[in-house]
Amino acid sequence: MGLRDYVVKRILLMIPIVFVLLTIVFVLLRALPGDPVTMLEGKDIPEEVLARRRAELGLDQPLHVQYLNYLASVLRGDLGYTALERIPVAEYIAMRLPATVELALAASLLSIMIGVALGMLASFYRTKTTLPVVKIYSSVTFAIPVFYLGLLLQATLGVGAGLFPTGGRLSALNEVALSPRPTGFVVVDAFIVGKPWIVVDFLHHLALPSLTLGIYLSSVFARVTYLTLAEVTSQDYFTAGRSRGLTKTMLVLRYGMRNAMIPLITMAGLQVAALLGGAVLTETVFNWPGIGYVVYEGILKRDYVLVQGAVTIYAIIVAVVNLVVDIVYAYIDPRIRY
Amino acid sequence: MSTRTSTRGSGTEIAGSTAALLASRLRSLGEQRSLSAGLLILAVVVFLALAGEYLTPFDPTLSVVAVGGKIHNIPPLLPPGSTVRIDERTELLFVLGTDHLGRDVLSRIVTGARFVLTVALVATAISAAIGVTLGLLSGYVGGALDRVVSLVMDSMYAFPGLVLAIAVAALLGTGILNMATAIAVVYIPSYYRMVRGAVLSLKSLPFVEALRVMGMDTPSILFRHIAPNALYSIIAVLPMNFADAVITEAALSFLGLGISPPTPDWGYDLNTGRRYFLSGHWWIGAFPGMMIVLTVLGFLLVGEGLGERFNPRRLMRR
Repeated sequence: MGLRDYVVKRILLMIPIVFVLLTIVFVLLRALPGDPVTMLEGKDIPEEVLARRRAELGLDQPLHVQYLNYLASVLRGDLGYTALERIPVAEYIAMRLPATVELALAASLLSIMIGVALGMLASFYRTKTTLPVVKIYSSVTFAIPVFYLGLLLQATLGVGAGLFPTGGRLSALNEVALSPRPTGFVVVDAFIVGKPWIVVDFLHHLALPSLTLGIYLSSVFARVTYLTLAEVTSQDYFTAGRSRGLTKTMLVLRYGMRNAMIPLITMAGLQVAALLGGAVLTETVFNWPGIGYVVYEGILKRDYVLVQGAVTIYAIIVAVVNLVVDIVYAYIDPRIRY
Repeated sequence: MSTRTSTRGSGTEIAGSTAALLASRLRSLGEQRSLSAGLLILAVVVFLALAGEYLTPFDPTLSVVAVGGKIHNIPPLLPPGSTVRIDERTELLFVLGTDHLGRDVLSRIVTGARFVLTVALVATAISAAIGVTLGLLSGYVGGALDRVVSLVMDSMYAFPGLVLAIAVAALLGTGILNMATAIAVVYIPSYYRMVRGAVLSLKSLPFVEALRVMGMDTPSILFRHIAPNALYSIIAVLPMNFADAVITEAALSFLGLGISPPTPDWGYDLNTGRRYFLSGHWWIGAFPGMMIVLTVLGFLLVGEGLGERFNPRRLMRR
């Protein structure tokens, strides 16, 4: 099976995966005890009002009808309306998607850079202390909740040192200068509108949130890089290379890292869930207007439809990202064909 | 455990060798620094959770203090180490300061251990129970059941756990059991995968075939002979699950899905402290945050120690 066949097969496989994910979302949100309408309207509302609201949301139907309705409306791209402003949820979330993509890309890039650099340094200067250093780093970054890390960075680099803004995506002035947004991505829009200097302001705002999420995710990369390099450098061909006069730097960079790529990409794929979950908290701490912030808004406003819509979108994002990771993986490692 | 004692030896011999074995185990336990450091941290946190109010200098939920039969208000936002003079004889010390309502931060972080540990314990128990059962059945029965359950579990595994937990918690509302359920949902697939993998490799071993030939029924083989061996694999997962549960509990509380005030809880207090963090009143959020980090670190260290100890194959797995 060639790469193209694999890609086609993998894309077709996405249909059942999305279907399963949507089913899980439905089961968790509807079949568990707990009434979204009571949650939405509060407990002191008369029963007639609650019943009307339930009928409006289709929650008075039997579960299997609700399930089919849910699938059908997701296929139509209809996720309901927000409770307060009565905006279509799908539109509301689509508006916020670019901000999450920006944050996720920046954070992934930073986490791989930090993690790989740390792992390489530790394996390069390998002494008795370097393994504990990597271990301590990865344990501590795992143990610090991402929102606490965000607060600490806000307090130190943000307010304390005054280096970075502590919230938002752009300064108010640039926010105005950039609207209306043609694509929603600041970097693209700034060039379309003809005000490329806005990008600087954007990166300035992006620094702390992406650093927070990046540090949070970097521990795994540090560990994987270190362990793979430790294994590679003990191989015979490495010793052979050394004895032929190749420098250690050259060997680590040209031969060691090449071997470390595959586990790193596997890890990157596995980290997607952590990335999206971490993004909810990071966006909340930094008022970053992405989908994660929508989830928080949904909780604050007790808007069940909004939370459900956001979770549905997450299901679709997860399926798409896993597809991309699998294809990249198959492209890099020709042995991968399922 | 695959420790074999000679069946022919007398009772005392067996007892003696068991004691010796235990002693050597304990000795190497002491040598394992990460395990003992982790256990030490956890012992302290569990002690705080159990002793709670008996230890604290003030009531963690009140912003007043009774001295000499009179009720005095505690000033809010006192920095750590502040003292308040009530009368000539009494001076109150607030080691870690007071929060925005004048409650003692030290008292709140001490008593805050209880809620988070209870939730994490219940959550871990629920997800282990469900995950292990599904893993045992799915792995042993195989076929269509295995394929369907695996597909569902893999999909759940790929889903951002926190988002799942948020969705469930938002629906179920607050309270220990509701929060624990929300958190438990996230880790069921981890147990499922571990146990299923172990069952798959165990069920092809000769001893299972022998049991079947001897006429033993399937439930007995599965629960009495395969389960004990398969459960070995989750020992190292349990503390990690606990650590994750503590973080997730804190995250849910931080997002406003935790317990209702004024019950002390680290995640909730961190969320409160967040509003005061940047205006210089850092201690309200910083100390609860440190407690979360410390507790999670304790579980991680224990998990790492146990992982090295009980499951040397862990590093070779995939």
